[in-house]
Amino acid sequence: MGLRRMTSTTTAKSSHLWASALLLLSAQAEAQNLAALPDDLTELPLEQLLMIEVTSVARAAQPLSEAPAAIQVIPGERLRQMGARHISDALRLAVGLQVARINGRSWAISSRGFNSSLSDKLEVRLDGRSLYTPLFSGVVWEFQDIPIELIDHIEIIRGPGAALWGANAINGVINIITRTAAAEDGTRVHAVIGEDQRHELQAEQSLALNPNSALRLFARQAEWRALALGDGGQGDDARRIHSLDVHANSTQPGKVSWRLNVNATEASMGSPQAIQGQDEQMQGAAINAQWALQRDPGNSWQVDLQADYFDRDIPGYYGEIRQQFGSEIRHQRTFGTSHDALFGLSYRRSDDEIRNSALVIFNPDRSSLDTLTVFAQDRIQLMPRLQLTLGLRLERNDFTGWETQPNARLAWTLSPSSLIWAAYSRAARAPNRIDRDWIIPGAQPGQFFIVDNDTFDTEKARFSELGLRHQLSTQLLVDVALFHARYSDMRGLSANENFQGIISNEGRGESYGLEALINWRPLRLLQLELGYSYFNLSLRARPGSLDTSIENNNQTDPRHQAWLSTRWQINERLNAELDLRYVGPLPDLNTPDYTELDVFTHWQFNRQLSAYAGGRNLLSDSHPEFNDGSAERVPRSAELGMRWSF
Amino acid sequence: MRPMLVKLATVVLALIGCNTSSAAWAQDPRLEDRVRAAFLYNFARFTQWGTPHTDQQLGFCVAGDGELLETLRETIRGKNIHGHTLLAFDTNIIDIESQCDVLYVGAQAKPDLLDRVAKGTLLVGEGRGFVQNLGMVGFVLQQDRLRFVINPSHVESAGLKLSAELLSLAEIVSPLESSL
Repeated sequence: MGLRRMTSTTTAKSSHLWASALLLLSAQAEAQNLAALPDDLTELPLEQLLMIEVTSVARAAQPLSEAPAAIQVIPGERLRQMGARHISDALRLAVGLQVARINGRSWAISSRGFNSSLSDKLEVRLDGRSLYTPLFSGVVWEFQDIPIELIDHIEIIRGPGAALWGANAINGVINIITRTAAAEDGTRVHAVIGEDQRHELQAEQSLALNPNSALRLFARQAEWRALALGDGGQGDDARRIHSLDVHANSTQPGKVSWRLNVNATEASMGSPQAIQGQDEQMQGAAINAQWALQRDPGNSWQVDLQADYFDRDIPGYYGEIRQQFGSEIRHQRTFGTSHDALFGLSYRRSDDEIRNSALVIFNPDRSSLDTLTVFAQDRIQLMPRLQLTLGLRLERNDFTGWETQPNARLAWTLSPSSLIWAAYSRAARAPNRIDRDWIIPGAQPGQFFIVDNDTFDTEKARFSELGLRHQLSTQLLVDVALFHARYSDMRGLSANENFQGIISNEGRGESYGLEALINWRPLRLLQLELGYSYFNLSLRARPGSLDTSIENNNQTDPRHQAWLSTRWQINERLNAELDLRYVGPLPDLNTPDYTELDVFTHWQFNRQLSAYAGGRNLLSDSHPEFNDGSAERVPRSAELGMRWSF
Repeated sequence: MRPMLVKLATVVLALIGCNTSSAAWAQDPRLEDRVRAAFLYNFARFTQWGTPHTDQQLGFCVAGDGELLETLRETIRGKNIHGHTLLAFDTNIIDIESQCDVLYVGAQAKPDLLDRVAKGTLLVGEGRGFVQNLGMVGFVLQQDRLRFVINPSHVESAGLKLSAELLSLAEIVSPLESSL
């Protein structure tokens, strides 16, 4: 009896030691392990306090920007919770944006109007690298398909961000920031199967290089089905994408930090323009390096270097090879106690080689475009609660020379929880290859619908904005923006002296709107978000113009859009999300209005394993988003996913 | 037998806990405030005041966040900084001008609060905006971790000095990223 008791005590003791050793090991592996945290956190050095993961289910802080602009920040975690599978799903949660799925492979996305598959007034940046193509000043969304798993957050700035972000940011800027590599070794696998998206598989490996640097490898394979057409047929729009991302970063507070991104992507998809039975192919690679140096408080530098390659082939219709290089240097400095200034210099080169066909011609078929930019901004503290920001960007492009884009913003802090802001800006959209060099041949040889026109000038906008952001309580936040814009020299059609059609500056007009976002947390574990936007654009051809294209294509944006998003943390393992949205009709496309509902539920089985299930567009069998309903329709679909980390 | 099972379970739990990166699961709901409170304590430790308001005491004041006030009280209980006894006050009850060396401005703080703040008070709040407009130190949530942003010009003009150690760990308010 005595002997048995002793043995069991010894075993218990040794297993206790073993347990302690393991606990210590795991504490070393990651600081956030709860078991390793002392009761009194003041015992920890500051460096360790900074490493504790604090995302609490009840108080996920909404980072509220108090910039004097219409800005919304969507955290990556939110996107994963709502089951977003493409960046467009995420952007539907942004007030003031127009997002429509054209078919199984393409999207129309714009800010404050002018939506089309070739939207050209919205700048999109991925970790500081511009994703727009100088071919049409827009984004090839079917290729720039950034994995939601890699997104840290998305910033959406409506209205001209031109003074900081350049000639494409006439109506808005979307900044997509990816996660830095985790500071601990680990593997993650994420698998999805569904009805609309057939399947997706992602694998991620993180490696800690040293306490301050880490490396991440991320591979992805995904496939979407073709959509059914309203007339009973099947669309030719199935899409497959493979990509590989390598990311390394190093952060040492107070010293130089850097991040490096290398990406290679390959996509193939159905295309109505391609020769029957052949798919459109796209390949690309991009490299992106950033350094930031904080010399002392109020004196910092940032350098960006970027290069990318893109190859697109629509068999029988069009081909494009594009190589780009970009560099930027920014310097921030405070002067005295009331000036915070930012200076920058950037250069971008884009070389392309177009493979023309009998249907589409670019003249010339090769081009090299250089853009040189100088910009400066000063934030001036006029009074303790009144701040004036003045910005100016001078940008030189090869088509029209120097463009001047100034803006002025005033921010008045009424109280720690409320801010009123006002802004006035002038922005310009530089011409692109479609505006200047595009030829559409007619049916007969020597006949042309459209010929190239080297007199196309920049489109111009002047924006006035007013906004209010008010945190009524920790539970309730209201963010409202009003805007009015005047546009001139907008793209339209006219004829040259040979009576051939040309793309020229024909349109003028104005838009105004209201964007509101209300965030309400009535209960600790229940969060509601309500978004509403009103938008009105009236655009007409200038007096004496022969243009009719503007008249027929200026109502492609919903006047009213609203959504209600409900997130409920049922318990510590289970949460649910409901997203209800209404999108008004698009008169010029004969697209009816629609109301749809997405529902997603997540289970966290344990620290390693979680699963989710959801349904999209549950309220109808299918609905069109960018046609009259006879063509591609977006279907109701179910989806199942699983995440495993080890 | 039972203690052995418990210990075996501990080992298994430790093994499972060894290799994870998911943080959203099963966390102390007050952890975020505990970390905030520990930071507030450290901010005071690394700040040099010209003259603290009262010789013997160092006052932490919390406006508009009752939960944090409670957590902070527990955190600083029985501690001192350079010989000063630490106290935590609710701004509704005390005279802000004479009692607060550190003032935390919560989201529910009353708008006129900052009119009553004495010049040499360390102003801590939430977000970059707070720091850009009025504040000195602001908490920001980055990649599920609580970080802090400092506006050195506001600190300086209040006659305070923050240690280099604190500054080296902070993000210094800068328009480099995402600000207009």
